[in-house]
Amino acid sequence: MEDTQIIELFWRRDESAIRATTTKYGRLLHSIAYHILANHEDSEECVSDACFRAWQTIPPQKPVSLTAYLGRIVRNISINRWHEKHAQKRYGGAEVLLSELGECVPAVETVEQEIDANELTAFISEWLIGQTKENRILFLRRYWFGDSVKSIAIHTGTAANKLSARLYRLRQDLKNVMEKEGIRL
Amino acid sequence: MKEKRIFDAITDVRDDLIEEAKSSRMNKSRPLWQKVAILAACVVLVVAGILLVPGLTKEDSKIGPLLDVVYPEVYAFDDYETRMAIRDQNPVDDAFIAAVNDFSYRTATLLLSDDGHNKSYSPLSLYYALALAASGAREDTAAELLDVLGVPDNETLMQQCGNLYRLLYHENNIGKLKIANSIWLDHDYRGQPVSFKDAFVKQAAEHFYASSHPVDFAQAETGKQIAAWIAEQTQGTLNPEIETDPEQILAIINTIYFYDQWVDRFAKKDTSEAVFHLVDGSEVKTDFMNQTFSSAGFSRGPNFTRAGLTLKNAAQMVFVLPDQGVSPYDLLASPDLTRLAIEGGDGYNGEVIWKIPKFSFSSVFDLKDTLVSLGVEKAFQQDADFSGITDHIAFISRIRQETHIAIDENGVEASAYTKIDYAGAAQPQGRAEMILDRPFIFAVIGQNGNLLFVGACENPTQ
Repeated sequence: MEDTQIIELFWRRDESAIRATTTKYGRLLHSIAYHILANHEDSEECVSDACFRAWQTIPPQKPVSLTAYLGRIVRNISINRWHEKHAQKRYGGAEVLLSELGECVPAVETVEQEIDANELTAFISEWLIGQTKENRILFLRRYWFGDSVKSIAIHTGTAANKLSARLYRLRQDLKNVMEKEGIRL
Repeated sequence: MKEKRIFDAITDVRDDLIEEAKSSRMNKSRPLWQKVAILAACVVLVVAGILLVPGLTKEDSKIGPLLDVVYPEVYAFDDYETRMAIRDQNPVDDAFIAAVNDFSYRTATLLLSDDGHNKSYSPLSLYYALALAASGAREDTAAELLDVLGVPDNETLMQQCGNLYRLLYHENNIGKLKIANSIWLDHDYRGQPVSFKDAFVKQAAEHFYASSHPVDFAQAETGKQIAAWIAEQTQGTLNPEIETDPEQILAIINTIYFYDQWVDRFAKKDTSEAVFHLVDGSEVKTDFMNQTFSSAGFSRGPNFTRAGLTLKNAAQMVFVLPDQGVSPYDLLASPDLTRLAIEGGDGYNGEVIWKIPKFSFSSVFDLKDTLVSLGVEKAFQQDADFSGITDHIAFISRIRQETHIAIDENGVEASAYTKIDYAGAAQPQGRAEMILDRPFIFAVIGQNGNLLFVGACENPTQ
């Protein structure tokens, strides 16, 4: 089913919108959640919660990209759940993702105000646009979709260590440009 | 937790970027040709006829290939260890490489003549087709073929061809070099049976990875069957019309299919239209790819400047720009001059400015006269000795090569090792302007110096 048809179902308050969403996006959303939580049961719950959240928010929302919209919801729910588990020392996948992203944190000390969330998002979007398509996709497959380096390696026929090195350079580049721009987190 | 802020910011990046990453799946689902920088294909068709020898018993025709082949295992393009292991397991003698190159330059000089057309010739493809024929030749016929191929005996030829085959063969998500051979055998000549030697079929499969197919050359369908095999081996790049002849009993076909990506791709945004000056003084407009390397190697020789672009799978494409007023064919006038243009000259390091017209063209060569002029005569005569293939009197009636070549901007998009080559570069010793806006020579050189393709571009819009 086309995304526009699914969104139309949400807008008509037709409950088959949930089934259509689960059918089309269930696997992708589960994958995103699982790479953060490393637990199938928790991931399943996050996917259910994400579908319910979509039901609550569409309308009034009318997403341009249903993938991005649903993916964001499941990422947010999953990372929050991960934090809860982290507090209980039951953490899983996001530990690695966050640790890698920690390398992007700029080391500059400035008197500037902290960049706000929207500005930081816009900055990272621009930085991604400035990357080659291949690098942009690699970065987002790893840090948005949460794909493991191994699975990307299998999919692309590239050695995992090469991809890890490339991701490292991308993280360093993001850090450097943020430092250059005097961005403080 | 600062990394959590980055995580959240990434969560909200623009929708179109998410869509791009979702649909692209790291380009596995994209057809490979979309990323190809250079694509070249070649087919050589060797046709053998027969003289009727009555009195032999008729054998039953078999359906399907008599003998199919299993190609060498493929490996990832950055699997350095496997590549080195294959190199160790398949030693190719320097003398053999020299023989193949000598053959390449001798034939290229004869075939790349000034006829006003673009030309691309694959010496390696012709070499393999002739080597396969030579492996079934005996006596004087074999001696002439081995002489032009530059090897002392058939045993050496087969062993070295097999090793070189395995060394060159690769297929990965970046590029491909596949040499495919096949032999097509007609067991019936005007109602009389024709038998072929099992040993030939077996050694063809073992050393040349040649599949064998029983056919009836009196049927038009056979031509279509062979054309379909060629199209399959060259991924549809070549779709020749194959005419068969009832007098024919054997066809040997060699194809080479090659594509790869520039290590340093050309940015599409830098491609722009400009003028290309033709030999006759007229001009055409065409798209030129542009790129500048601040530190790269180039060579200068008498009347030319040459520089190369590296391809991901260890091959290289070199471009030879004749000096103003010099024709490419002046540089191809003899095997020695051709070799000098493609390999020789004095090496320098410095800034290299590239401006290369995009081109895509096909060539057809009838090779019989060329080979006769190099001393291969017996193989074309009715008293040729191909008794290693059949006890009937068989001879080569026709050899034809068809090629296609195309280049564009694509390469790996600024990957990690794109710029590593320049680290620690030598002090600049000058500057080369590879502004290819007039007829030029190109060559695609394999990992151990074999000429896969060599040609001249007279008009990139042809």
